[in-house]
Amino acid sequence: MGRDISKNRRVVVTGVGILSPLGLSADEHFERLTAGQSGIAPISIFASPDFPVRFAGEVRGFKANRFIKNRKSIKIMARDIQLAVAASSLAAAHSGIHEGVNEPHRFGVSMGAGLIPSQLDELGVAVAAGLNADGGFDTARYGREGLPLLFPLWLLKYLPNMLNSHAALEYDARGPNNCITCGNASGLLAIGEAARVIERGQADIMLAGAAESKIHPLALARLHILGKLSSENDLPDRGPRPFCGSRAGLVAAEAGAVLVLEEQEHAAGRGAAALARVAGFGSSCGAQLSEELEHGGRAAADAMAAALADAGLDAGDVDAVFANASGLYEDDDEAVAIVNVFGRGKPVTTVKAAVGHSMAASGALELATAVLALSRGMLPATFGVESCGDTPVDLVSEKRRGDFGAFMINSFSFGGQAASLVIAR
Amino acid sequence: MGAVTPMASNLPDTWAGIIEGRSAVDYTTLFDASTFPTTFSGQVRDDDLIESYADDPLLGHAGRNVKFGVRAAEEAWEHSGLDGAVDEAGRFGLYLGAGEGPPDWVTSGKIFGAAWTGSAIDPEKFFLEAVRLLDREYELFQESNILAGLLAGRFGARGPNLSCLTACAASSQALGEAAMIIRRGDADIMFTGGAHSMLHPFGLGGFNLLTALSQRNDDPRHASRPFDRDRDGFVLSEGAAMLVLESLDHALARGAKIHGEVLGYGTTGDAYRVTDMHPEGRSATAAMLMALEDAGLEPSQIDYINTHGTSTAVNDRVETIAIKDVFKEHAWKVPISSIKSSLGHLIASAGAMEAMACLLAIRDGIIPPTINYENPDSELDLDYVPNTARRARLDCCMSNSFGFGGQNVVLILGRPPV
Repeated sequence: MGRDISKNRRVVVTGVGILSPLGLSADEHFERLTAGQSGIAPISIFASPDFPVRFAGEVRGFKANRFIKNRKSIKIMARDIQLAVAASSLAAAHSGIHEGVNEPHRFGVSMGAGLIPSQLDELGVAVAAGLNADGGFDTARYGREGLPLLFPLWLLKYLPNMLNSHAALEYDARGPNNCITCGNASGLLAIGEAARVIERGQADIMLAGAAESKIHPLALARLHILGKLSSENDLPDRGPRPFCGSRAGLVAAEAGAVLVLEEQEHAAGRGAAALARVAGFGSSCGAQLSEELEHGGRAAADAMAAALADAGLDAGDVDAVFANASGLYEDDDEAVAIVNVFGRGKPVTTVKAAVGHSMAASGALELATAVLALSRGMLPATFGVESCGDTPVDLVSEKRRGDFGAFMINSFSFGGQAASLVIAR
Repeated sequence: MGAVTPMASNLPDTWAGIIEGRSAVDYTTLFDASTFPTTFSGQVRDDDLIESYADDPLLGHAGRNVKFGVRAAEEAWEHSGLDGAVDEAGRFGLYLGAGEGPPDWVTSGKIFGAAWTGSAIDPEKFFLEAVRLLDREYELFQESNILAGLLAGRFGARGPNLSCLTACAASSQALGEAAMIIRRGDADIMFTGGAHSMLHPFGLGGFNLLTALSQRNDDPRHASRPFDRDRDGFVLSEGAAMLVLESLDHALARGAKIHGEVLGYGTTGDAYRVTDMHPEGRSATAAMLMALEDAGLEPSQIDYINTHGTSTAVNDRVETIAIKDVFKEHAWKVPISSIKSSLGHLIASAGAMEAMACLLAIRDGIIPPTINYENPDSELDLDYVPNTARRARLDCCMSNSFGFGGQNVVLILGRPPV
């Protein structure tokens, strides 16, 4: 192998961009979160009052052209891509690199993306033209009569790497460019990977984050048949209540969350404020298909332990855990893992309690929120858990001011991947 | 190493076919594609492979991509001699460049049909029909991370676990990043590679809409003709390619047979257009230079370049320009070829397959040819190793992968360290 990797290059966060069900900026998201508000509300795409899925965490009022410079491209961006590019734009502005950087080849992009379904009306017209008299899909007919109804760049609108491609284009970022597709763990893994790229010296600055929207009939149907979605349609105000005995599944959501990661000296050299340091990162896999975690949470504990060891920190140095906790029964396994790593009494919170589960974006959103919490000295409460009674971890039920030193962030996929990341002052 | 390709369902026969200069491209039979602008592909025709998983309680529900991936991984696993020899599961990880699953288009058609109002899709009807008709497990397998989880369970890998999808560069990127994880000391063994099938009506149709595919429907075997004057697009193929990477110390300690070394990795983004490469390939050039720097090599030390060489008008022209830019006068001396001329384009799996071709070329002392090279293109004047494999001693090889959307990945592979 070639050169040894320097571990002297430290990676800091110099910008945060968030579009969440709580707001169209990092400030709005954090203010509403710490004010104890929820972004979960009746869903916009289904109207029937007796429908099995009636609430979600939607990014309301989002207009892509308010955020994206390259407006002509917006029409070939699926909503996931728009959210990623818009969050990148907010992060870049926050970090003071809105006009790009001096050395574009040292500026990279690492995004986490989900499986992006085609907009139904778009593909539906073409598929309908390919149906036989008996309603069956006739591919020869589709090739002849359906295909010409789609626009030429249709495929590009839905490729996961287009989150990266458009973000890179928007800021002339010509450095390392990677797209992580690890289901719900994508965002956190993408940010961890971006930190590694900077650490090993292949870039000085990276846009790193994720976006996904599950507010789509096909995406919701998949979650529904997997038995993941909360059925508490009559109680949307209560949210998914992670770790609570009364929880009833996850609440689907959408979000875009992007950080600007930067080598510490590079940030200092241009006078950019470091909001936090990426101190450690680790991942593992428990290989439990369709579950978030293997029973007993061993992979989650391994990922947390790896991140702590990478950071050179002890469990006691971490002030709180931003948990994956999504409201599914596997929250219990994460709780076991947290207790195994940290012992009892470690404060635990999760943004998902207030906004729902933005899937590929969720780990990036938890991390982006944790960066704000650390830099502002304010740990947000876990929404809706006041009346939970006993929980297997110590949930933060009221926001706390504090001079925090480090937070752990967890993110797990359906499929067994477990990722953990530690940020420090 | 292991592979499932349109040429064969294992690596040795795939490699033999490439060296013999055979084409694995033929008319598509997986579905009726006779009315599509392109009627042929690099389809994996091994129906026994698909059938062999039919009764598997889990894989029976998986898409073709996952079955290809599992078969290629089993071959690579056996080849590595690691079965029963993994000492520390936590230091054994996976980094794949795996594609999404092919959609269940038969069922999708029914769902769309039921939800079609005559002018639009009724979202509620669509949801209810989808819930009624979709297969739970098949849908789960659509997610591209499932293969990495599945293989982790199968081989007992509890270390770092990731999957990336940077289009046509995905499995090259995965290989490079997996090597970086080992180099950093975070794992001793990493499974890497890719598996992908976009050979379904929406994938084939999507690439046809982009006018990216060859439409040489009267002569499929000669359709993939990288660097030839009459090239008219790439050939969509499916398959899987898997490798086991190991730290040198770990491999030596267990007396493993070593097939080569990962010397360098470069990754860049075009930041130009999502539809086109930069006309001078500025970021492809940068990726090659980054990989050379990472390997500590001069351009003149590269003995062979396995190109991205897709057979599209733009890629092959720009890649030629970029190689000249990096290699200067050595560009005309270094043999370069594209195995996509034989296999077509395996999309996410292509890069790992091509990295293995470099390792096999070094092992066998033979350069795979660019087949179907008949008419020189006046602007494309490098040594493309036309039509016939060539004997040569090779020490260091470069493998280029350029993703649709501008992700460029370059790997440098070398002879096993003595």
